[in-house]
This record gives sequence, C-alpha cells and structure tokens, in this order.
Amino acid sequence: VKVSPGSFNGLPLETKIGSGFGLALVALMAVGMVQHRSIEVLVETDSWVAHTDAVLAELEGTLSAVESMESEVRGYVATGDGAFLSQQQTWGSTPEEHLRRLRVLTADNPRQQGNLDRLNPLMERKLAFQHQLIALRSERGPVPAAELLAHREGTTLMSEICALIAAMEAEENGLLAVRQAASRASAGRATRATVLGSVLAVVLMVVAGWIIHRDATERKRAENKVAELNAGLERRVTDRTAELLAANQELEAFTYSVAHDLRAPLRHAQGFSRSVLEDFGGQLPQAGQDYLHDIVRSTQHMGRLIDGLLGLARIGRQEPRLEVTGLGVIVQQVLQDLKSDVKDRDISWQIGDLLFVECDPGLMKQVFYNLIANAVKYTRPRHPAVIEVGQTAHDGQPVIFVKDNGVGFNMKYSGKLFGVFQRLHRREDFEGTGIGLATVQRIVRKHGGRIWAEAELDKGAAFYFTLAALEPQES
Amino acid sequence: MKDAMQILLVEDDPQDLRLTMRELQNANLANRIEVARDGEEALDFLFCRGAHSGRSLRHPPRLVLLDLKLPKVDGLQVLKEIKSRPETQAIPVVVMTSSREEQDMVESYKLGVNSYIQKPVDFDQFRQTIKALGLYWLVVNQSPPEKTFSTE
Repeated sequence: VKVSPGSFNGLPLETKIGSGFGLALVALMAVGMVQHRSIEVLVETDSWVAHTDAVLAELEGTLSAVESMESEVRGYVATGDGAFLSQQQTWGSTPEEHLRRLRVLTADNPRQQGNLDRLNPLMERKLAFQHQLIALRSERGPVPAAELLAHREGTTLMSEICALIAAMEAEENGLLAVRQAASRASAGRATRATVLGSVLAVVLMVVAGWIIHRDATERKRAENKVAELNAGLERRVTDRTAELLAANQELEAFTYSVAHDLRAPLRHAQGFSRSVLEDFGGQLPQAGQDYLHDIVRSTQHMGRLIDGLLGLARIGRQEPRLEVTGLGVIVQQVLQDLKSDVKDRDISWQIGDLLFVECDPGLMKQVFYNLIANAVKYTRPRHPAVIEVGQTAHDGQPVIFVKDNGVGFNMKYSGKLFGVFQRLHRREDFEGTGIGLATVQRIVRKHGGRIWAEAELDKGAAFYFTLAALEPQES
Repeated sequence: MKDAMQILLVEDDPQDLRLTMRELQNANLANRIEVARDGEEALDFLFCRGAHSGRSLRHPPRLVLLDLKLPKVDGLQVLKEIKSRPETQAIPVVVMTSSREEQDMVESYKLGVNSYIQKPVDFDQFRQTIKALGLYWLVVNQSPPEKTFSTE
C-alpha cells in the first residue's frame, strides 16, 4: 500500500483517488471474508455441540440400560420374584439400539469406533452373565446365585463397561473443547480483522479524501491565478484601448484644429488678391493680373483640401447615426446634386435596384457622391460614358458597386487608392484633392464594411463596398 | 436718430476686419459702423461703460456682428451677456465665425443668437454673405422699435 510520496504525487488525481478507495474496498472485502469464515466456524461448532450432546445422551442411555438391567437382576436374585424380570426382553435390545446409533454418530471418529468395538463384546458378556445369574437363581436357589453375583468377574465387567463409557464421554467432551477453542480463535481473528480492516479502510479513505481536498485546493488556487491573470490582461487591453482611443482623438482634434486655423489666412490671401484685382486691376499689366488669378485659384484649391480634411476628421470624430435608409433614394439625391456637372455630358446611367439598409444617410450620401462624381470625372473623355450603380454578390455577401468605362488606372497603384492626398492622375488632367476616396473608405469602415476597387487602364474602374447591415442577418 | 450707429462689428483679426469693412462699404452699409476689437470692448460699448460711459443705452446698434474667437471675453460670453440683460436682449446678434464646431453653433442658438454664419473661405461667397447679411438685417428685417430700449 505504501507508495513513496514523490512518485505518488506524480500520478493523476483520478489514479490517486481510485487507488485510495480501491485499497479501502479490498480491506473491507478481506474483513468481510474473515467474518464470513468465522460465522461458518461458529455455525459448525454449534452443530458439533448438538452432535456431542446426542453422543453423550446415547452413552447415558446405554449406561442406564445396563444399570437398570443390573438392578433388576439383583432384585430377582435377592427375592426370586419374577416381577423383576418383566423387562427382560429389552435388556439386549435397548443398549443395542443405543450402540447402533452411536456407531452412526461417531462414524467419522476412528477412536470412538474402536471404543465401540471394545464395548460390544463387553455388553454381550454382561448380558450373558446376567442370564447365567437368572438361570442359577431359578434352578439352584438364592445362595449359589448370590455367590456368583459377588464373584469378581461380574464386578470387573461392570466397572469395565462404566470405564469405557466414561472414556467415550471424555473423548467427546475433549473434541468439543477443541472445537470450541477453534471457534473462539476464529471469532477472535474475525474481531481483529474487523478492527484492523476497518481502521485501514478509514485511514485509506481519509488519505484519499485529503488528497482530493488538497488537489481541489490547488486547483482552486490555480483557477484563481488564471482568473487574476485574465483580469489583469483585460485591464491592460482596456487601458491600451483607451490610450489608443485618446491618441486617435487627439490626432483627429489636431487635424481639425489645424485645418480650421488654415481657413482664415487662406480667406485673407484670396480676399486681398481679389481686392487688388478689383480695385487696382486696371493699373496692372496682364501678367500681374494672371499671377493674382493664379493666387486666387491656388487658394480655392487649398480651400477644397481643407474642407476635405475637415470632413475626413469629422467622420473620425463622430459615430454614424444609423437609420434604415433606401440606398436608391440616396443615389437619386446624388444624381440631382451632380446635375450641373453632367448637363453637357453624354452619360448612359444604369442604376440597378438597391436595398434598404441601416446606415447614416448623410455619410452614405458622401460615399455615393464621391464614387459617382469620380465616375463622372474619369469618364470625361468617353462618348458615351457608361456609369453603372447596383448590387451584386461577392463570396455570398451582398456588395454595392459603382462602375464606369472611364480612364481607369493601373492595378499596381491600387494600394495608394484610399490614402489621404494620394492621386493616380495629374491635376491638369483630372482635378481633385486626393481626399475623396479616403473619406469614402473611412465611412464604409465606420459602417463595419470594406471597400475595394478593380480597374484596368483606359478600360474603366469599379468600386465595390460592403456594409455591416448588408451581411446576412444574425438572430 | 439719424446719427444712430447701426452695426456693432466685433472682430479681433485685422485682416478679417479690413475685408469685412471693404465689403460693407461696397454694399453701402459702412457709414455707421462701430468696431470693437475684443469682447470686453464690445460689452463696454453695449452697456455704456468705461470709454463709452458717455453713450446712451437708448441708442443700441441695430445689429451686432459677433466673432466667437475673441481676446479677453470670448464671443459666446458676450452673446450670453447681451441676451440675458433686459436692456440689450432685443438687439439682433449675428455670429460670424470661421469655427465649424457644431458645439459652438448649438451653444449660440441656445443662448438666443438670431443668426449663425460660418465665414466662407471663398471670397465671392464671403462677399455675398456680407452683402446679404447687411441687406437683410438693416433693410428687410423690421428692427425692434426704439421704445423697446427706452422702457428700461
């Protein structure tokens, strides 16, 4: 049962508990077996007691039969009264009966069988002697009979019979004593086994219980440690997220304030250039007037850049206000707004059916405005321009697209497409700030979506985007 | 009544001031303009304090053009004073600012501003805005009658 603690600790918990309870079970089973054996011995001993009683009773019966025969014969010898001989026919049969039963009862004991072998001829001789006495009395009178009665042979025979029966009684009692001693020994063993086995089982179970307790405590401690570490990790993630958010907000605020503060000097530059042109334009040579016009144009462009930056920063600062909106309606509004830009153009519009989705309508209008205005701009050399707005599926997910047959771009520059101030065309070919698509991407991401483009130089471009609200509904 | 000042222009930026004055002049609205260069000066003027203690509260400007970013006392504070004091709360106030902070706009309206205008970067738009502003508040709009101010 003893296992060295080192190797025992290495065992898995189930093995420890299993072996503890298993050994306790084995101890209890051994106790049970010893007890069972002890009870068997007790029952056996009990039956032996009854057996000994029966043997003793038969021996008593034999002795008393011989004694009553003896006294009846003596009575007849003394009186000559035939009444003493009334039981004569049972003298032989009664002891014979007892001896027969004794032979059966002691069949397993060769010593008793030997005693019986010796008792039988003694009994026969005794019976014969008695008959001899009776005959002597009835034929020759009381004196010779009394003489024979006093003869040594008769006395010796009787005492031999008594001695043999006593020996047989002693043999039986001795056997009983041996068996009772064995029974007591068995009971003592059972008691010791019960005490020892129970104590062992209790000890084993206590040990197993202690191991379970210790292991549960260790496990609890480990779980607490894990929970603590998790909490710490979560706290750190929360802190980092908060820091990141703060840094991001700071950056947005900075962008906003820079863009905002740039507006005033720009307005002044433009205002005073215009004032010079208006108030003193006539006094300037043509080149001077052209330079001032260039200043005005530059300030106008910078104004658009600043407005774009402010718009971009504002999108970063605000959460979309979601409401269910028909994208088709938004597209129609955008087309209305672009009316003046397309009035001299030959454009074939192909507007497909669009879904109602949860989105910020103002921001979503900016998305469609930028994408459609881009399509209008970059199809300028096309007659007719074909601009398609619709909905399709991509990897089983609904996707909205704006497609044109314009000048397109080389896909190797597609990585720059959505960056701020990134442009894929020269400004004298196609005007622009390089902020529009960055804005579009930011809005789409704010809506939990993704935007990408496919294009081929001189063939056209297609912009695809998803929105979280477009994804298959989850419960 | 004839010499009554019509516009109080509160503007700290000298260049914005010059451009605004030029456009007001071009729109023939510059003949009676009082200029305050910070919030404190504006309040002194409106409430006839300090350098303006000789002035009468009975002749308030018909319009206050108010910038929000001002030294000493900022525009929102000036607006708050004007709109919370009985002797000045009837004066129309137009905030003209380069701020695009939504919060400024919301706060201004809560304080009772009569109009909120963002200064356009584009000069043509700026010019049209100034012109429309003067035209609306000094010509189209009916100013509160003088007794509004004399009851106090």
